[in-house]
Amino acid sequence: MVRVEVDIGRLHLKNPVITASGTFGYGEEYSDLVDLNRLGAIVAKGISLKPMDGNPPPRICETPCGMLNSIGLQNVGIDVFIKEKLPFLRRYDTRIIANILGNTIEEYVELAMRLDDVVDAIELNISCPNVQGGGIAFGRDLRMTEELIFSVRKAAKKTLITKLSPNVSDIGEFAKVSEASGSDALSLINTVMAMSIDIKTRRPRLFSVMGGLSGPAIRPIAVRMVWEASRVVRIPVIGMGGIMKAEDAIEFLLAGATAIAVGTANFVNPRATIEVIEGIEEFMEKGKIDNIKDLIGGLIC
Amino acid sequence: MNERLFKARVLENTPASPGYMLISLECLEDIKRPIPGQFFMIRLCSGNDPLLRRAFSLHAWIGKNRFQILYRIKGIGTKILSEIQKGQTIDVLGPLGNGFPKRKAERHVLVAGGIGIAPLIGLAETMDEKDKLSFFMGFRTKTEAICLDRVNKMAASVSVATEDGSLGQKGTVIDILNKNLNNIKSTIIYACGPRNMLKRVSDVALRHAIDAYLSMEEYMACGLGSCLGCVIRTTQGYKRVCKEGPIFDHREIVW
Repeated sequence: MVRVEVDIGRLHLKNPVITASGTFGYGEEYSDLVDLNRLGAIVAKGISLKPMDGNPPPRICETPCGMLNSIGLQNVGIDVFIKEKLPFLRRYDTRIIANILGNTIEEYVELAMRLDDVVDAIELNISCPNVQGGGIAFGRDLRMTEELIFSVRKAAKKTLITKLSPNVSDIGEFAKVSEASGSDALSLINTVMAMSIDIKTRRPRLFSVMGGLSGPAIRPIAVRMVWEASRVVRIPVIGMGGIMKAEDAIEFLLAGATAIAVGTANFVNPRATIEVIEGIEEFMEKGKIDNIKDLIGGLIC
Repeated sequence: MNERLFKARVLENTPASPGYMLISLECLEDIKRPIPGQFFMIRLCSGNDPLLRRAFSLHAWIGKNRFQILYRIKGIGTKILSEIQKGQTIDVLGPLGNGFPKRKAERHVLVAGGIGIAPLIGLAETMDEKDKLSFFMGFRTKTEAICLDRVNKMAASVSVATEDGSLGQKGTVIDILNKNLNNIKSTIIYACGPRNMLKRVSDVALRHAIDAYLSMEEYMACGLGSCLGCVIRTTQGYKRVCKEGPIFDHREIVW
């Protein structure tokens, strides 16, 4: 048996495979198709204090080896999340991470305080490209990133993960500021700002004009950013961006990721997470790698 | 929830009329018999392009674990599907969505626009009282008029319109629906077709104060209710076509 457990801050995962926020609903959507007990952790769909309607359709479109989305953080709000969604997730032997989004620092703090006792870790979404205010408004400004993480850190005891945006010029700076402000780990990357045009109608293919690109199309960008970020911080990095199969996940581990998240692949192959777990174990067995820690940051260059 | 991820063998994949194909599939494991109006998500490529599955509604259930999909070759996805050969296996997710409700009425009116006929055939086949079935079908032109033989065998009355007048009445399916929809007491409409057509079906249903169930479409990634990509606006906020739909009571929809 190979050893695949990893630690993200004080959060111990039985394996490094996590679901990326917004691609796995609240877990229940996949429970008929995936044994949720096998997952390292589930990151739930991003939640806000009040329920959010999200953006008008069309919200998604396919692009080469990827897709654009501008869902706009449609979610049930924290009350329904705690009352109805969490009890279901808690029936499974996996870690539950809440992804939170606010318009102000106070909102993030309130969300974190209310979730601190009921989830295993909190992921700060400061990189959603599809909402006005909040989200990326924090994630593109070093000073606001610092202030936000510092405030949430004071309010919550659980492992705090900051999800960074690739839509910045220097990911290393944001990684360093996040670590210095008290973040226990980093998640990257969120989607890449992009757009697509229907040339017959001359109209954007998304109602919101711009959206976030995800899927294999962004994987090399994500691998590069995980490498850049993990070199400048000591805290663990959760790598994501276009992971479809185990080989892709291993690329992220080698680049320096301690854990990885499967996102868009869940839409294409609902069993992608399980196949990634099995594939990593098989790769390790074949390569006589006993402990996954021997893969993490194992890039030779 | 009873959807499954399964492999299906292609029994045949043949042209139904120019531009339209009929594919018959045999599931390699037991699946729940789908309700007419439900759909399947088919993966068309094991690589990354095209990345997303494509949604296809059930056309007809043809015996244990066998079913058919009728589709129009429209984009890259359906082009790839049309090239899949008999004997190959494909990756399918389903059945998904809610399906048409089973209701009692004096008259069941089925309204199809183009390829919208696909799920209505399956619906008509599962209806008990075929003598109460009226079909209204609209096509662009005669060569695209599909399923006529089957419909003629099943329904008590059939009306066809083509935009160029090459078959049936010249005009749209709404024109013939308006002309022939009399004696509408205890009538239920079931419709599938382009959004504009469905909107006008809803107008007709509102005018006559009758029930209408519409099969709605929106770009979709997962089919499982997780991506929240396929929402449409309803009187109770956004609803997911893949989960709360694809069949909606017309009164719910905010056009």
